[in-house]
Amino acid sequence: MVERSLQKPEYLERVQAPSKQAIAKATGIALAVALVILFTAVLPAEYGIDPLKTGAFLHLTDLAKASGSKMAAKAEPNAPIGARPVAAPAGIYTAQPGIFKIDSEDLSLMPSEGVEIKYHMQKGAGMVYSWKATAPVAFEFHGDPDNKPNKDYFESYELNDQAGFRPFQRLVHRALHRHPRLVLGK
Amino acid sequence: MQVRAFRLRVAVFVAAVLILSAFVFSAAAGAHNVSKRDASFVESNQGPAIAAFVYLGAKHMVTGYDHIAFLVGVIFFLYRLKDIVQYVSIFTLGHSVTLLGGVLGGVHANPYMIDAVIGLSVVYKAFDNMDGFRRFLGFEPNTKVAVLIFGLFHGFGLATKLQELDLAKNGLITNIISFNVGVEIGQVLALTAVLIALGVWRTQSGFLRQAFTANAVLMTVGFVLVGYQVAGYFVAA
Repeated sequence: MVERSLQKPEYLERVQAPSKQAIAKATGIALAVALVILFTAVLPAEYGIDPLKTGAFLHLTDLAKASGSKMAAKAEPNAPIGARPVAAPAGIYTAQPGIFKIDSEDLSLMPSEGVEIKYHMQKGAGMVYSWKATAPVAFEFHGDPDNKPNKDYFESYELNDQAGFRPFQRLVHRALHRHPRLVLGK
Repeated sequence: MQVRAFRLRVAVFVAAVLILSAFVFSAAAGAHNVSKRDASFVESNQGPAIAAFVYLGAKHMVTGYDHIAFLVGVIFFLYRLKDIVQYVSIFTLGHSVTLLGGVLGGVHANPYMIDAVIGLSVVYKAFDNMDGFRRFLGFEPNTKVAVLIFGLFHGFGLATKLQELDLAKNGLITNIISFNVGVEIGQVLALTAVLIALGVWRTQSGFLRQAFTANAVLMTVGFVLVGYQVAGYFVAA
């Protein structure tokens, strides 16, 4: 056991220090392998960047599509409960490629409290929502585009300020070009 | 006896390479980020929550492959417990300063750029372990200073990620200190696992030869992390 006698120095003395050539070669190989891993696996899976088409071949780009970019994840504070493929409904909708994101959330609101649920969507993407309340709540549903004509611009789709006391459920289908925001509470 | 020792050596080498490449694949899983479920807890939390933040800090460190990759590089050639404690303390000092200072002072940085520097720290230490600096520059930059500087960056990365979440002012200091304590606990846990693996490996006679290759693998991990983060920077821009 040669190593045992070498335990004294803070950093172990290298028995044979590698040559410049060996270090340069190892560094070059490390960089080359890293680039291969990046371009064949990490970039397609993380960002959907797929210059070599290996991501499509290995279905890694599906990961990027399913999770969305980090930006999109940040704009959607609601954690996805689960995502499964859903058939696109017929009608005014354009069929959406890939899979749908499905969220659901239970909220408790105290009197005079409010909550706003926000989504950032692609232009032309569809959104289906439904909600149920166990007490009277006021609600409003609006959207605003990424490039607003002015700071306070928004388009309201639905407004109900005098929701009576009844448990109810709504199902609204909309083809949206905007950030839909559902505001609950009063 | 010879054959047995050789087989063991091969097995340990293969295992080590596998463990290191697992870092690469966990990069693809995005293990580093505070998970969405934890994020919504942090955002909805009001007031001090010591245990929860200690847990989150520890979890962050244990699943934070970039920090662990750097620490593997730092302790790779450290044998005496005294040295390990010394270097890890320097790293801890560095990242505690910027974690606490960054969050409390509200200092922001681009998280992708910070993470790219952290990836670079892995490349740096691997190159250092290969004896690259002494060979190419004729001297080895002070390892303790390098560990301190990269520690500062690692802490800044943590601070930036925590600030992406809406932290309640109520109990902020308690929670940040708890998070930091958790980070240290997680670091000790991760280091213990690394030290056990390195300890077994070092008793093998081929260690020094394999060490060179292992550091090349570690460097690869570092380069992948840099590329991953730099690409993220441009995608987000």
